[in-house]
Amino acid sequence: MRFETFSFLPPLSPTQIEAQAAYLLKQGLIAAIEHAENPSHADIYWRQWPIVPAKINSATNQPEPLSASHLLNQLEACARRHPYAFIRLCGYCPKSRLVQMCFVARTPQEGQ
Amino acid sequence: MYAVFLIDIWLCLHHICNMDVNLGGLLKQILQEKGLSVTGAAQLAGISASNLSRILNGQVNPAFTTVLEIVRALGIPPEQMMVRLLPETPQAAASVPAMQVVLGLENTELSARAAGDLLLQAAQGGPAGWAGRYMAADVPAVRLVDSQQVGTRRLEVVVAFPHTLLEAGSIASLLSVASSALAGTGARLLDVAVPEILLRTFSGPMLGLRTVQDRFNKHGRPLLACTIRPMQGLSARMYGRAVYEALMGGMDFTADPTLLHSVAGNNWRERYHFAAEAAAAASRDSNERKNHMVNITAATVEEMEERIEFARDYEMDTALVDTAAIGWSALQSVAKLCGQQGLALCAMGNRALAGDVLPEQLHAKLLRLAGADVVSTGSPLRGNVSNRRYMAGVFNTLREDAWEANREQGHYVAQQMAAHAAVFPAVGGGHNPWHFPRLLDAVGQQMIVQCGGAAAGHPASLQAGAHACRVAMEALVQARNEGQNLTVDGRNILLRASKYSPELKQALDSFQDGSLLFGVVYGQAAARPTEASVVASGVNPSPPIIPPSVVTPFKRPEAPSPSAPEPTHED
Repeated sequence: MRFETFSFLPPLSPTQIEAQAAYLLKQGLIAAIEHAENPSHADIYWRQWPIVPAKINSATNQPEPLSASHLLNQLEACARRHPYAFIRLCGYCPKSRLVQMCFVARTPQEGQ
Repeated sequence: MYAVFLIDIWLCLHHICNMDVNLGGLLKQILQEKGLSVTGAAQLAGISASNLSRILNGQVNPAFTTVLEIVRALGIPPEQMMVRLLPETPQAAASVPAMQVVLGLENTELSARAAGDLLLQAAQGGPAGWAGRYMAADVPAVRLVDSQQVGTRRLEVVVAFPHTLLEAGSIASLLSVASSALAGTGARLLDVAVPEILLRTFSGPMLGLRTVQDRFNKHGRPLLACTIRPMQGLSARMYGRAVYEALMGGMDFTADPTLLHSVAGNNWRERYHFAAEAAAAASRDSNERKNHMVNITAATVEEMEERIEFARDYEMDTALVDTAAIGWSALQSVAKLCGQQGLALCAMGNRALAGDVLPEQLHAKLLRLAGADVVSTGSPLRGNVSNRRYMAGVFNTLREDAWEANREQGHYVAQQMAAHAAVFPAVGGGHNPWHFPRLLDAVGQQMIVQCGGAAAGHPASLQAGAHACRVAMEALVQARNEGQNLTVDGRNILLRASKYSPELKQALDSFQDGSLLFGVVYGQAAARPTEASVVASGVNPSPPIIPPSVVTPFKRPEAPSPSAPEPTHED
């Protein structure tokens, strides 16, 4: 099943997904992980996977900034919890209020 | 003539007598300037000194005839009295927000100053009458801001029109006022700076760039659009078939050609019906949101309204209109109707016709104000570097909130867009996958690429052509995100992608890079490529210029004369 951006490319390898995640963070976008089973073109909203912070900085009591490898781990966690779902990684730009990037990173056929 | 003069003076002095102004103070000042005593002046005017001193001290309200006598005696023209009496508030007049219009005069014999006066007078509509001559200084009026020589043969004149002269929310009013100085002066309209107070009266795009992206769920890559070909001769059903194929191949939008309105055998109702079916089927089968832009261009706004409603009933989301052909007022009506029906309005079409009247950058600005959601623009890959810079200015006009004056980009004046939504540029003109790297670098990812020629010209099929375009674009976006430089590596990225996409390989083999950079073709020897033509590989789109001395004059080949005997080789 083809689904919007990058769907006409061969399936992305974990390294390639990590590179896209790194670009997302470098652009200052806000990351979101969304998943849906049986998505259709009419479904704009998918269910959101909460991205838990990697670790809390004990000095400031604030979460550390996200890293690309952590986003990849979160995609993995979501895929483990929802093995039959399509999982997409979105980057929302708070300045232009646009979803600047969004692509399906995991499909159900993978990893089985 | 004399009577008119008398009325003139009478009106003037009548004003003075009735106005709450310091007449005595002014007269005192004039006496001092002329070095006259009160008694001397009274003698000249033929009134008593005590009466004059009472007038000077403001103790009496003098009769009209008396003031006339005094003014005559002092030898002062009544107009001058009037002007000196009026409160001086040039600041107030200048502070009224004004629309600044930049006009250009080329190859003229006029000096900068004379050109400024000429254009100002033309903008005022000729010389002012007597009522205009005595206009209070604080009434906002057309004024000359700047007039300067740029280069050797070009003059640029800036004229400011107070916003009170313009009707709210009317492009027609804006253009009519801005172009008033063009009448009979041979000037061209270069740019218009619209003040915020006027900007807010225009509705602007109802959906705009962001909503189009969100509604069609296309994020993180440029969109691809394909104009359906052939333009003539398809039945409505086969036309729908072409729409389905292009969408299934990977196009995000298909569009009616701007010159296809309603023809026998493919009338607009049938076409909408089959195109809507095709778009719905493609959405269902490809699982992506697909759409077809229907051409609603028609003779009357009522007819276009009917077509908009018809399209809405078929759950279509976009309507397309040839803006230069229907005119500005019709465009504003159509934009409003599309907004009411929730359709995105695509202002496509005849840039050549529009460009004859307005520069592309100004045209884009007005389209944004009028409420187009998608605007077709020229390609930054055409022409030379200065055209690329100019096109950058056009993209600024469509997508940015504000910009500074930048002559290279075609912005003669700074402008801010007062929160009008950004517009999607639909970059047009004969792109094939080879052009995508440079195009993505020059325009950025928020654009619609019109690549119908490459899709339809693919040797395999329309669907394969659409597929090739989509694969090429996605591979480039992926590589850009990974940090590769598209201008440098674009070629390799495409060749690598063609390893897993046979359609792209075929497209890269059959099209050639650089066909947008056509030069001068000497004479009519070669068919000159147009903006929409996609040039096949191995064909030189711009053959070398042959200097006239080298050209062999055409010589009619000797026709074999029927009387001459056939040479025989038997002997």
